[in-house]
Amino acid sequence: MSEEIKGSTGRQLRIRLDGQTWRAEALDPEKVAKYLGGAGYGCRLLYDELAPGLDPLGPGNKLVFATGPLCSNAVPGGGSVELCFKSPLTGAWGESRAGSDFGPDLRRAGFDHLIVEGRSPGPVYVVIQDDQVSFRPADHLAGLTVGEKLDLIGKELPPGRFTVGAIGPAGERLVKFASVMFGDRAAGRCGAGAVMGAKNLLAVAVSGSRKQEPGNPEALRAAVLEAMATLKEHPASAAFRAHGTMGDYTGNDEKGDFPTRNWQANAWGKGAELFDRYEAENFVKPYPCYRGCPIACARKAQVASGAYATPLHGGAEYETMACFTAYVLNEDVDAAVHCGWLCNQYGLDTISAGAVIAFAMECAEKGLIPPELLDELDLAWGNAAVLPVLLGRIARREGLGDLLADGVRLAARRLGPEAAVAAVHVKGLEGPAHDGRSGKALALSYGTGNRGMCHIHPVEAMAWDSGKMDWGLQKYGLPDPNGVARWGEAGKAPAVKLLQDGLSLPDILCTCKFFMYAGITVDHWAQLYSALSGRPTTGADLLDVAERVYTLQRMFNLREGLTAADDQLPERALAVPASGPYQGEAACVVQDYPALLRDYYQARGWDPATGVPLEATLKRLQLV
Amino acid sequence: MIRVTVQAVGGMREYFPEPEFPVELPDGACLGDLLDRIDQRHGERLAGTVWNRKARRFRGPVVIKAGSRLLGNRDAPLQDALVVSLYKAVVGG
Repeated sequence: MSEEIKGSTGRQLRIRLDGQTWRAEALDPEKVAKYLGGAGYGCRLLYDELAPGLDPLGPGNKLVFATGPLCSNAVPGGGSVELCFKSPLTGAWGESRAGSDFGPDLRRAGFDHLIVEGRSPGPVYVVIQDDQVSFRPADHLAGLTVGEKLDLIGKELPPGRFTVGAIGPAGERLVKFASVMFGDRAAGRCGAGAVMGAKNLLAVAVSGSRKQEPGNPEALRAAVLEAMATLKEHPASAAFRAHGTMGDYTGNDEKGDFPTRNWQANAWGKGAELFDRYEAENFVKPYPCYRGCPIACARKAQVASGAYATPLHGGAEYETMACFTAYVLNEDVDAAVHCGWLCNQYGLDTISAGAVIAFAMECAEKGLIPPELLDELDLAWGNAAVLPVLLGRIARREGLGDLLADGVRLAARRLGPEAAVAAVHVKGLEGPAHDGRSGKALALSYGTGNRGMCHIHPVEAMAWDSGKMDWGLQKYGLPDPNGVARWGEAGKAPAVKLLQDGLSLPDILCTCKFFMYAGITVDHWAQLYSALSGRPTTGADLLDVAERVYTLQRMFNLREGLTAADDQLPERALAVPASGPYQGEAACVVQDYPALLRDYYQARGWDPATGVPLEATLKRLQLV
Repeated sequence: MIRVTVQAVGGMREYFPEPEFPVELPDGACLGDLLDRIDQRHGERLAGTVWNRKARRFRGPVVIKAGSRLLGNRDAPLQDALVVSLYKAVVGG
């Protein structure tokens, strides 16, 4: 381990699939200090090494499995890995996090990051065990589900405790929203699974035995104890364990934070009924997504019998359930649980999968899908039976599934101009199950998120102006949410900038963002980072890093040809809800988005008209 | 008889007419008795939101605490002068 970089392995592993070669590289301490890890270091590396305009599914793209300084089973929230790549779905910055032991295991193997380059001539999987890296033929794994692959790989691995990341048939067929699965945990969004599939890399298995020595063990012990005490006291810890993210299902419907019928409304009125059914019939128990997680928000769920019988599995997250219920007006909770499991097996992002099906339902209703593509599929709203059928066709790129496998943006272009209004996305990334009509801070964050229309990278901003959370950021200038109207717009832009910076930090440090919902603040992260790295660091220092990273990701996107036009919201997200409890409620819709966007650009130090970072900002952030 | 005070904290406030209210219960009462009383007074109004009438418990991420003690079980005993706080967490996702 480098003497200069405490709390780090000091190395990254670079593998070249075409020649089946690999090398360990020393980390640049200056880069590590400025970008830390995760989505920060990953962006710096990809900005420096990727040629602009390259094909995300070509051999020139690189896939980085990035870890960060807090990526450790001993750190609260530290079981995490951040995948960084150019997204085949958006053509822009792609990042995708999974809660998993993969990140800590990669560091135990002796590497902070794994960089995958090139393309293998045939299917392979890679095994990393401490300093040994091997490339194994994977023809026998091609076409198998994720579960089948993991079973077979598990039997072939040498002795040791391994964590495996694998793609399913969807990734192999280059479905643009294919995921990388770590057991039942997904690096879901933006299409990392397709990038792996394009490289003929079907899985990566990692195991390690090294211990990392922190810069200041006593300080680390104290920082961990303080963080754990905070978690224990905070009500959200118990709530996460008891309900997982599904806990918010009813409340989101109530608050108009529940995109319904392909975003034609922001609430349904069935949240309580469906939640009760899920809790009584499908939820089995909580479980931790990485060894030692003190929150354990993940759910084990099943469908005991019937048409949608589903084995016990990790799933039934809020997003998955909302996208297979409210998006498509499906009231059959068993079917929704089953669809989540299918997505895990096929290796599909559940959000994009639910979104493309909702898009298809609306297009079918409007007569926009040619009969030969429709192929007698019954795409009536609420038809649960078609959901698993269509998921299979998407994963295999068959018929209508092939059209939908490229995402709503491309699908709408192919179906004609009338389909555009049904394509709800920003920068090509389909909208998740949170609605900017519940709290306008989210609407702005949706437009300006670097990976596209995303609620969690970087931030569920409606939790501030609607949910009244502050994540400990008031001391850094965040207005008290209790004094902010959820449907107000004035003054929100600087707040959104700060929220994005603050909540990007877990993606950079490689921890779990939900810990910040349970009382952990940027100051806790700073304490932990200082102890691990031996570098005294404050919360303000970390926010500076986050701002630097956010702007660098912006530069990545601008270099790929994105402009301010790509920061706009889809028409549907700006429309007064057509049905449901908020039907006709004009106040919930953003009234002056151009003004919000202009204020946001100014808050970021970017040109207020174009959103291009100003030279003075780049200098201040040490990006030039 | 014992007398406990129920406090609706933060996001729970909007569900109750007052931010805190007293509840009188028989000696030896437990959390289940308190929840049943809440159901009698507020259950119909809250049925579609935070209260599951059939299961006689709060729906979703509502956490019940007495000081730093988490009260999860209907059998949890209550004492005179106890303050029972109801929190509605945001559980992300």
